[in-house]
Amino acid sequence: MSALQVLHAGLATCAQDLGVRGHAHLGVARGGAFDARSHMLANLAVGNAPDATALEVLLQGPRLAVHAPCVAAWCGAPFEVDVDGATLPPLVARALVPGQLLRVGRCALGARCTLAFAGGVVAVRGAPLVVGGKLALGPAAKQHHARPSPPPRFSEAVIRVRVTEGVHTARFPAASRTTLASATFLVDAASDRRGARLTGPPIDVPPGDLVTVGVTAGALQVTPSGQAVVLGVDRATTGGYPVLAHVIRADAWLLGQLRPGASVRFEHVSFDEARRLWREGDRCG
Amino acid sequence: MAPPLRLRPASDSSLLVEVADQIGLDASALVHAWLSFLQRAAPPWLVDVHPAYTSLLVEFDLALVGHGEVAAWLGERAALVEPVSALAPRVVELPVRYGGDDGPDLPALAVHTGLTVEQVVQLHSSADYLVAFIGFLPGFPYLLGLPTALRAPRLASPRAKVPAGSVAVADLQAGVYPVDSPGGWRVIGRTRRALPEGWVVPGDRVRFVVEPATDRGTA
Repeated sequence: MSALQVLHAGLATCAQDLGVRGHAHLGVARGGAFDARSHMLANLAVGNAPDATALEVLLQGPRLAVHAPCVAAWCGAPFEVDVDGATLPPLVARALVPGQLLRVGRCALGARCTLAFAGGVVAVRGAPLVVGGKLALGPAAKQHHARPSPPPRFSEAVIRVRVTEGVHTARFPAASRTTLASATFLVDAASDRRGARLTGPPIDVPPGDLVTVGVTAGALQVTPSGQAVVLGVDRATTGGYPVLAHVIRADAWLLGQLRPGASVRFEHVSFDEARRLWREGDRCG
Repeated sequence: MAPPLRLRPASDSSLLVEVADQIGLDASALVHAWLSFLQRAAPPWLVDVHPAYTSLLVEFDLALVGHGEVAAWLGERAALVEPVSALAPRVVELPVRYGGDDGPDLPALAVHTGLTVEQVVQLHSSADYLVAFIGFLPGFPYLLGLPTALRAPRLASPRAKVPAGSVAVADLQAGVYPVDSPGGWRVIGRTRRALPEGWVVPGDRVRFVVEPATDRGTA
């Protein structure tokens, strides 16, 4: 039984879960929600397991007509979300009834949000929302009782992303490490789930080609032309461009919120500090 | 006896394990021995493993362990990991149209290597390649066996789209793009053969066969 119909698909709305692990040896990247933290929180808010399939919205969201009773909640960048014109705040589970219209508009800051439904969305990972399509939901599970974390906060300020050293950091000239630590970068429009391209002062790369090695989301590579690229959830599993730094696990969710045109700075932390930040956080994402 | 493991943090939740110094058959055998070992041992902290020519990237659960514990676990077991001799491999032949629109980087590669285009094609297609590992994309094989005379760096800027079937080289690496994809390797030809996930596995051999111009049909 389809619970909702897609009246407007939005810019690039797609079904996501939290991806797969254990298949990198086959060239299969993790995939899944880019802002995994918001994904987990939205699912918990409707009583789903954190990895249930939900809708990932990019910059401009969908309009959905409700055909069957369901429960929805959302989390992520500050989108305008309403039900029949009544604002729906983040992480509030709202019961929807047939005839209602659920609208996800735009966000002025950040880039993505997750729209979750109790029972999860029945769809293949990565499947795009299509106008006229129908959304089927799974059976709503027993309530998962989770202590709610607050939704992420966004501000106009420059986004600070914490990084550790990467696998090739020692090969770079010292000036490159200084550039990374001191410059402000702009997120390029040509950024997507595979990675964020950054515009900023050119970064000198080590001489010579490197043997291909495994790479993970959050790796900050520098191309031969001196451009920094931070790999995203759909990135390749191996790569040959030198890795100057790597985003810490605790900040991985931020990569899914890098809006084209936003300003980013990188702050270096030690591995010990990165581990402490993950273990002392809510470990969501 | 294998050289000692070199271990380096690659991020707060991953460790690069270098098992060999030189790309080659011995290195690939050892990499895959480690991959199999890790998959069978399945420690609770293991998240994923990315094999490459001479290394494996080991991703771990940061809530459970840190670099030190993972390094100690690997070091304690290194003596147990032995390369496995390959079973009789398959040989996969790919017909390739070299140059033209199918191989836009072929002329520049010839210039870089000081060879003629014909010599580049002859060298590339006469070599016998081994699939060292699958990475980058499902079905993308990293091949050993590129003649050293064809060595050239990657493109300064990767292409946003390399067409499916493109045959490409970079440094001492050779490969084939199984689907449309961004890519920074030099594209010298293209095969029309479908390359579904699993079309080759590590240990298989690949041969590139020049598709004669007369088989191209009308323009």
